[in-house]
Amino acid sequence: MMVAPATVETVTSIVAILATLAILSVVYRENPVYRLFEHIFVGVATGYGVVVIWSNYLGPGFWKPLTEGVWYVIIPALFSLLFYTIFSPRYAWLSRFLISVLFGLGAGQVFRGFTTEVFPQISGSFLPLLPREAIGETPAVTWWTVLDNTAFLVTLLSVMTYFFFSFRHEHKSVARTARLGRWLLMIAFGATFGSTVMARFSLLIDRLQFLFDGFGKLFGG
Amino acid sequence: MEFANPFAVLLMGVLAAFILYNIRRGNLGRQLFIREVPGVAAIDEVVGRAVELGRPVLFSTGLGGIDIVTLQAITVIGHVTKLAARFRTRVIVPTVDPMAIPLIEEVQREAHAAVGAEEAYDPADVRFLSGEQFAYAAGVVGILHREKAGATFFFGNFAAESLVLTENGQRVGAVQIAASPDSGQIPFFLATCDYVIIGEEYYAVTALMSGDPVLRGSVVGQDYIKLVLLGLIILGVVLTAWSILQAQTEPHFLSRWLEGAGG
Repeated sequence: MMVAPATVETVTSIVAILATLAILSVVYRENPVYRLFEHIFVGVATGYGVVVIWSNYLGPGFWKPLTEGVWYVIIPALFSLLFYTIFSPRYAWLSRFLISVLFGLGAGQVFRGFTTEVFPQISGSFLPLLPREAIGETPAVTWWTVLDNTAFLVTLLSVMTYFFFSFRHEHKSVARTARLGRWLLMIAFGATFGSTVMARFSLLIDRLQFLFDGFGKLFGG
Repeated sequence: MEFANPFAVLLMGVLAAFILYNIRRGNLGRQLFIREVPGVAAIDEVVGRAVELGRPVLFSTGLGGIDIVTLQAITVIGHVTKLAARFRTRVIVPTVDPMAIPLIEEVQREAHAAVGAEEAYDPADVRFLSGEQFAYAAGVVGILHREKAGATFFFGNFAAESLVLTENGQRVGAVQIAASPDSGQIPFFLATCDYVIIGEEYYAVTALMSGDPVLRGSVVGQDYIKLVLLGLIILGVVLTAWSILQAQTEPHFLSRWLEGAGG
């Protein structure tokens, strides 16, 4: 029996509206409806995760090549199975081999990241603190740019000072610089908080719009 | 294939040597000083509050899998569990990664044994919820409300769910402490938590708590690295000013070396 697409859409809308209202109901208090949909959400997400792992990783990376005769994909697959020994107290030591390989890879990437990300950031902080006229294709540095650059460098150096741990911030100059760094960090966090709250409001408005549109469609409003 | 330039290789070697040197100093018994981080000193107080209220502690390790950040969080779980188990207070740990469960269980079992509270250990307190961000958040919110957590710890990598978790922690009246090396979620933790461990302080936490010479040495070594980078920045700015005074349009040597570090 074929189900009409309009019916499927209506059922989907009803479920989505119910789920949205149920999850939002925790704003009032934790209740059995929230609890039901919380468990459905967790279950559905886990099932979805299994499908994603199969369709994005195991399917194209292991099963498809294996069925096409690339037998040696079994070797890394067998190694990866060692991860599951973590659940056996007797053989858990085998999983440490894989974990150490992963940490080794991670450490290597950190080294690479330091040269490709941190070093260019350092050279990017070599900003001009003196104004100058444009020379050929080199743009001019105005007093406003100098002011901007000064604010940037003061922030950078004071925040770095705040994050020194191996000595007491007792000397006046260090203590004051670190305190300035902390203040500047808080100003930056405040700005981030404000802009993100605005973005979250737009998400809330979008969800409310979805609810109003959904109710409108269902009840012919 | 791209390779790092000789300057980058030399600099990386020097920076790595700082860490190894300080770890060695620590291992040789040298007392390496690390200044107090306010959030770390508050850990005992936060657990004590949950004990006073007779309510469990909730400890979230965020969205990370088994990586350095999560392993640091698991070390803190051990410390928190030891404090809580002494007074038979539960520490509930919801996680996104099933692979982390045996590690957390082991740490909790050892912590209970260390304070003679083996009978209070319950493996059901370590729970896999979901690998999906908001399903995990919905699950943690549910636990927070149902268990009426007296204290919450958010240690690890978090994303947009951070505010959902900590706002609900506030609503159940929990004393909250958060720590993340990722500055992206710090503003939300600052707005909703009682104590926040910011950015690099995260890595100093376990060094301060454990006193392990390797951890302390690596934190001190990282300070040396920061000093070198600070010096490079000041030198680079001075060289840039010098270039302007000389009316040079080409970037100076330090800028070229660092930009072309490659790798």
